[in-house]
Amino acid sequence: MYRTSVVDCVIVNSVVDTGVLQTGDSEKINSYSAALAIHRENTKFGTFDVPLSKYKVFSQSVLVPVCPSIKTKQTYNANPYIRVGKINILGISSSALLHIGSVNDMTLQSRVKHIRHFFTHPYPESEEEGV
Amino acid sequence: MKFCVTNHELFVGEIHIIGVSLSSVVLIGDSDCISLGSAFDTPPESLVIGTTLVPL
Repeated sequence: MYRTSVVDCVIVNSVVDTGVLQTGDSEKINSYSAALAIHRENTKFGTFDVPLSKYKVFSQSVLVPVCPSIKTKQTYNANPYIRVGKINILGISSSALLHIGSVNDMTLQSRVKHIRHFFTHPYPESEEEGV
Repeated sequence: MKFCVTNHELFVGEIHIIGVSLSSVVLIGDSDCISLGSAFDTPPESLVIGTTLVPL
């Protein structure tokens, strides 16, 4: 039904933050990542505690297109191999996936909230303009 | 509707990628169903000034 994937060489520098490198076939993959990316003017390590539920981006639903079920699809593999010479990837992160092999059903989701946190206004001359 | 697919030879020499992030996928293989979703929030209000970081 599915083809066999043949890869000669894989070079991946880093796999971080629910990134996945999967070799081999999968039936189902469900991946979720929630990240709070905070740039702070300075920090006190170990004193940080922010609940993700305070932010709307982690609770609101993301519209994902639904796959229609095509029952009449027929696949004929004249060549049963997918061949790739070399894969070179610097980074895989935030519920991203490098999958060598076939997969039946895949659902990935990620949410990121960015915050730039200053203790004093970085541009005091533009404060009256509301920037 | 009748949907017929014939897969002939597929041979890729080299793939070079800087980054795969935020629910993206690099798939060397076949798949029936892929659904990906991502929410990325950087509005102007994300500039927080002061000591209270968490919204009330």
